[in-house]
Amino acid sequence: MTDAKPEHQSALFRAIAERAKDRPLEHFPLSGYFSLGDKPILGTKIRVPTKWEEHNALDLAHQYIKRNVGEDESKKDARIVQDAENTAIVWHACRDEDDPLHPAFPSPDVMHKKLTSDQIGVLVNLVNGVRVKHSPQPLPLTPETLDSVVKVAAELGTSDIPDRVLAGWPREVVVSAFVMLAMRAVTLEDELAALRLEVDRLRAIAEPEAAPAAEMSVAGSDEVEPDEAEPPPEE
Amino acid sequence: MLLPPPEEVWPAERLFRLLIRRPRPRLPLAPLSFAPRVRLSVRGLRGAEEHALVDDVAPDDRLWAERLVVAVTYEGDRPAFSCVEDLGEMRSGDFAELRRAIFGTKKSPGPIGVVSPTYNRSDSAAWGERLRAGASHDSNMAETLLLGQAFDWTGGGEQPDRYFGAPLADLTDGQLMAYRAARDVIGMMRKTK
Repeated sequence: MTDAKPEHQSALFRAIAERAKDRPLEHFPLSGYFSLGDKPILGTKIRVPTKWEEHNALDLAHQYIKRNVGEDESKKDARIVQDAENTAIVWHACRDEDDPLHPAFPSPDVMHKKLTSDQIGVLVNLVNGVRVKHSPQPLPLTPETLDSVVKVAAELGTSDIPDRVLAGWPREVVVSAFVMLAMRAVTLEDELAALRLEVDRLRAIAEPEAAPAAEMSVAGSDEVEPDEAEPPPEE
Repeated sequence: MLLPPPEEVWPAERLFRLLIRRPRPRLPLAPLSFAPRVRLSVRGLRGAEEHALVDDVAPDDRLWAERLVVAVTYEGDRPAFSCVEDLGEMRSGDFAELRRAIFGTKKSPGPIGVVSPTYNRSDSAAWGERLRAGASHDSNMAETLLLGQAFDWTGGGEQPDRYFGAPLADLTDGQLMAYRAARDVIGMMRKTK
C-alpha cells in the first residue's frame, strides 16, 4: 500500500484498488476457540488476503521468531517460519464476525498462545478454501477428470494407485471432488428410493393379494403371525 | 535446466521478428479475469536486470517473482506498476493469475519465456540456431541485411545499437541473440559468395 500516490495510475492499478474495496467475506462458525481472557470466539468472517497482508505476515513471522525462537533455530528448520507466517496470514484473513473491520483475534502472538496447532491448521484450511472459492482461476477439476479418477479408484482401489493420484491434488480440489461425489451419491439415493417405491406400486397392482402382507412387513410389526410362528420345541 | 526456444506457436521467422522489435521486444498478455478490459503486455529484460531486482535483499523466490512481475508488466508504453508496493492491495489469487499469465506453467511457458530469453537461463545455442533459421528466412532478409550492417566486416567492431537506436546498455539479451544470428547468417552468405 502506498501513501504517496504516483502521478500516473495505470488502469490495472485502479482495477486492483477498486477490487480491494469489496473483498467478499465468508462466515464460518467456530467452536473451542478462545481469545484473551478466555473470551470464546464463536465464529469468524474470512476474506482473501492481499499481497500486502502476505508481506506483512512474513514480517510478523520473523518478528515472532526473533522474540520467541531465535533466528538461528529458524534457519535450521524452514517449517518454523512457515508456521509463524501461516498464523499471521490467518490473523489477517479472519475478521471479527460482528465487525469485520477488526481481526477476530487480537494478534498472531495471542493465536500462538491460545490456540493449538491443530486449531490454527483448521483456520489455515478455511482461509485456503476461501482463497480457492474466490480465485479468478477455476479449479482444475472437471467432471471428466473426476470420472476418470473415480474409475481408477473403483478398479484399482486395493492398490496404492488412487493414493498416488490424489497425493498431487491440493486439499481444496480433494474437497471439491468429495462434494461433487457426495451430491451425486445423494441424487442417486433419491432416484433409487423413488424407483423402489415405483416397483412396490407396480407389484401391488400386479399382485393385489400380496399387498397387505408387504405393507405389514414394511410397517415392521413385531407381532408374528400364528401360522409363521416357530413350532414349540419337541418334548 | 536451460530453457529452449518455444517450438510450435513460434516459427523461427516469427521469433526472430519478435526479438528485433524496438525499443524492446514486447508481447501482449491474455486479458485477466479481474481486469478484463485492461490491455497489458510483457516487456523483455536483460539477464542482469532480472538479477538486479533482488540484489538488495536475501534470496527469496517469491520476492523475485513479485519484482519481476512489476518490472515486465506494461500498459501501453508505461509500466503498469510503479513499484512493488503497488501490488499491496492486490488479492493473492489475482496476483497468482497475473503471475501465471506472465510465466505460464512448466508445460506451457508464458510470454516471458518467449520475449525475454537470457544468456543465464536460456539454452543460447538452441536459441541461436532457431534465430539463424529465422534470420535467413525470406521474409526477414531485409532486416537481416540491415542488422548485418551493424557489424564492421573489416574488423572495426560491432555496433548493434545502430540498428536498434538505443545504447548498447539498453539492448536485451534476446535482441543481442537476434543480432548475432543475423550477423552469422550474413557471414555465411559472404563466405559462400
